[in-house]
Amino acid sequence: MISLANIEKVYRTKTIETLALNNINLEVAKGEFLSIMGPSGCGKSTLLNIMGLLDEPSEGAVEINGTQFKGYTDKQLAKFRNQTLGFIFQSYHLINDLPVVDNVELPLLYRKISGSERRRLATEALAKVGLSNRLSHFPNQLSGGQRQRVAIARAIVGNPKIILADEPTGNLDSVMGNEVMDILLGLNEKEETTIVMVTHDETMAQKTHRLLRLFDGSQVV
Amino acid sequence: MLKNYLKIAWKVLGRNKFFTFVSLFGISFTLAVLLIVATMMDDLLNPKYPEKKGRRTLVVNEVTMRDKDRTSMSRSGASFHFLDHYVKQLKTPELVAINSNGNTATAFVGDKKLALDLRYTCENYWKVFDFEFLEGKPFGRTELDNNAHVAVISEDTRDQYFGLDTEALGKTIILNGISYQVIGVVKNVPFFRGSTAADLYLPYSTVPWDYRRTGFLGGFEGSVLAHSRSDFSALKAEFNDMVSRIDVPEDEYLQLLEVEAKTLLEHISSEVTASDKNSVGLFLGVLIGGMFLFMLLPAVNLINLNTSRIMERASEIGVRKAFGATSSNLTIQFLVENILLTLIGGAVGLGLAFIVIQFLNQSGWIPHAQFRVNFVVFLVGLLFCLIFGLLSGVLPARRMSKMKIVNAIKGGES
Amino acid sequence: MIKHLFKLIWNQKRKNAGLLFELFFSFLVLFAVLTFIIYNLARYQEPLGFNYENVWQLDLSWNTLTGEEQFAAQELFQEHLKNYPEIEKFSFANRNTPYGNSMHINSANYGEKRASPHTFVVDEDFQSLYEIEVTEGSWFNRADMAAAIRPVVINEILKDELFGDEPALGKEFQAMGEDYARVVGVYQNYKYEGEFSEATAQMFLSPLEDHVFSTILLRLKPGTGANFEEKLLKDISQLVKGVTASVDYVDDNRKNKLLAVWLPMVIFLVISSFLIFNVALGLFGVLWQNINIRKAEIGVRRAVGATQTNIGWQFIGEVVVLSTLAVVLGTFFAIQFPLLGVFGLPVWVYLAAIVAAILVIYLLVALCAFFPSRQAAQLHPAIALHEE
Repeated sequence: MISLANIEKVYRTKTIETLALNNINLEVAKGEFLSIMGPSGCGKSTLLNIMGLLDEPSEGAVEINGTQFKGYTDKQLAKFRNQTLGFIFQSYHLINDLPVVDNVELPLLYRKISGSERRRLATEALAKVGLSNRLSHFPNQLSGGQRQRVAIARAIVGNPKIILADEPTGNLDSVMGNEVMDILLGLNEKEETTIVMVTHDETMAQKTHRLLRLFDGSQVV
Repeated sequence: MLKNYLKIAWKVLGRNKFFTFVSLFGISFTLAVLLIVATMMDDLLNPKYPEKKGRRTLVVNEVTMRDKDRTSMSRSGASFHFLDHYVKQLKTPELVAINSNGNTATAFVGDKKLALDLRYTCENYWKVFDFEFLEGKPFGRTELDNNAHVAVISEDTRDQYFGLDTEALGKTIILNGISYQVIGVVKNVPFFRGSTAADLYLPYSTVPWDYRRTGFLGGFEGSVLAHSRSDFSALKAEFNDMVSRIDVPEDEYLQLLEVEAKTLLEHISSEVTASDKNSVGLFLGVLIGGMFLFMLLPAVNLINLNTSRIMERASEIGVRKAFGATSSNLTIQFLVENILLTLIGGAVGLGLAFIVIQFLNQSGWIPHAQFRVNFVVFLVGLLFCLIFGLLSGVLPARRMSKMKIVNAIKGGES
Repeated sequence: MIKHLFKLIWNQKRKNAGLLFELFFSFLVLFAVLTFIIYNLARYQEPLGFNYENVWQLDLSWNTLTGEEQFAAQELFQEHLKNYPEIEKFSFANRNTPYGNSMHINSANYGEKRASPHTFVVDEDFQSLYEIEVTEGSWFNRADMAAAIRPVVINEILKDELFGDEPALGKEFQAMGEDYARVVGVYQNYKYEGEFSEATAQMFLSPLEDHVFSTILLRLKPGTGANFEEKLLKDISQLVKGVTASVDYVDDNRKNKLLAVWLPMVIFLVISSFLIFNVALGLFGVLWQNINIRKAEIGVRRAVGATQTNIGWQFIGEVVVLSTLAVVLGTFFAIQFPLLGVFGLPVWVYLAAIVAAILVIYLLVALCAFFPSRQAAQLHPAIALHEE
């Protein structure tokens, strides 16, 4: 499903050159739930961004769902992200000025879908994360766990094949963290969604199929 | 503590140069315009050369006559007769000066024509107003009695007619084909001085038309000098009493006489607003209201800029709060920043206003005007600065100080 | 998408209220200034109807002369002025002449119709001196003036007001109180109050037999200067003792009259331009700042599939929606002027000013939003989402 070959990422400023990722090779199978662990600054998020086509590797090739992205325009990349990928972030990144249901509709806004259909799909997605009764609330009226569930609803509303989650439980206590984790596991199981999750939490990581450890930009295992 | 506030403020302004520039541009331009207007108003409304006794002078320069049914009316300056026979007989004033308004004379220099504004005046005119004589002296009772053809001319007229800085005393100037001997040269008067602006001044005895005829309407105006400002009410009362006693001859169509002795401010207000009643309030209201409206847009602009700048600084604010800054600390800090900004803008604006006013004085666009940014105007400008700074700073500062610490640290989700 | 933008703006009420107010107020300022300018430029476009070049106005003060003396002097001038080769034409008139400060309004009645035309009393040479174009009939001549009923030349506005579609020539109406006058000619334009004045109903009446004028208009040979003026004034004062005469160049009077409109127009324009420029800079700053604050939002949008173009248009769209609100609000206030008929300007002037103000506002916000929006569009999604 996802294939990374010889990925290298170098950040350059005027004075310093930092190697963020060094020779990463990774295959993620369809329906797999992979977690990535490692200390702060080890390149986890960079790797996730590269998988999510938000960032380009300095070297190496990315292939997702049989597609290679050499020479892809911004427009093509955007469409691919929109159709195939879903994102979840540690600090939710909800738009505070929009009510919950509009936040969830966001990915559909960039597809040619009618307003009522958008609303239907968003409501459905929110039902899946158990927030049917919070449609018109604003994000800052919700708890952290609820916010992350909204973010998950936003990630799944477009029915993506892959979900990329960057420390989804990082800002949550264990109860709420488990709730979120259960939803992700359920998605993986029932809908066969491929999930890649960056985490700090060993117990969360243990619940997934496979664990990848990074240290200073290199694979450890 | 204030030193500390100022130090931080200075650093903050230097950090985001674009914002500082945009803010300064708005503030300095706005204040420059306000200062220029204030300077002009000061020059117009406060006693200035040669109307230095303006504070204790009343003017009688408008007479209105109506018919009994009040359907027709006629309005113009006062007649010589009215001023000479009635106003001059008042007991309260120290002095009454009579001069004509709106007369012109033509003079020729080689193949050049000079169209000169001229006033016919009496001898008291030179005592009520403090003209600065560059040469010679004014004419007096003797010249008037002898029907002497003598003239007091302005510096500008002298330069144009006799040549730049040429002595003119005793020389002859031909006005409307009639020879006058120059008896004095005075410093130029700006055109907007209602009672004194002119290019030359002649004794009223040389008026070519029958200026002594009876009636109340005419081309003259009177300047009534009181002993002090506190005499004004008594003077006005005596004046009104005098007017009410006048019997207009029965056979005149326009029977009702309306005339007032007005202060400079009352006179200018009624000129500008073209209304008779409450014109001072209206004039000052419109002036202040206009300035306020003019300030409104730049102020809202600054509020918007400040608000969005605060959002950018949310994390800084959060950290300060976390380390114990109170809401009022932060509000003061922000107000100090904003007032510092407006004061810098004010300084630039003052400089701009100064340059524009120098330019206006030198360009001659406003004839003979010599505007000066004086201390009062400067204080007014300073006041405007502070109002502006507070106005545009308070709202954003309040909003900032209300921000929750946690959100603030995270970067501004209020 | 538009609904989405509205929601974003609505839920940022507090922040956007300031911008909205600023745009709204700018709109009103623009509306006022543009109304003033458009109105005056429209007036300026209308033909003036006479030729002021090389015309001098000789104003006479009769001072202490009696009526008979004045009339005799007038006769004398009439003969004397013919002797100067510098003077091509001359004409006697009352003081309400082009670019002067006097006006004289009379009543004119025809049956039930009432009008208040500006009234000029001039002699038979006035039309050829000022080159006024007569469209029907002709100017009055000596023969007309000898008739029992006074001849009058009216303009088309007065013709419309009094006679409507009927032919005007030969009609008699009450001009100057009870006295009747007969229409001998119709002319189109004579905007004696200057290029910026509004065309009004007017009529030229021939003088009564013993009428004494106060003004003589002279059309000079090109290039005649102050030397001749000096000579002329000297001659006049010697010809008739006690008369004071002064000469104004109509061209100079015109310049002063025009300046009285140009000057405020330029001052308004400069001040409002600075205000608007100020607003533009502020708007630019606020929009630029918004991108910093909304980085995460941009990142999320990019992650869920928004293209660079989508992001750019979204930011422009928000400003456009906001300015549309401001413009709608502003138009609501502005439209009251033609509806209530304040100031009595033609309706189209207000409408043109509204349209022009709308265009300027949109142009302004488009310019201000362009760079910030491009900046937003080019923001790298990984950087935008970077956790602090």
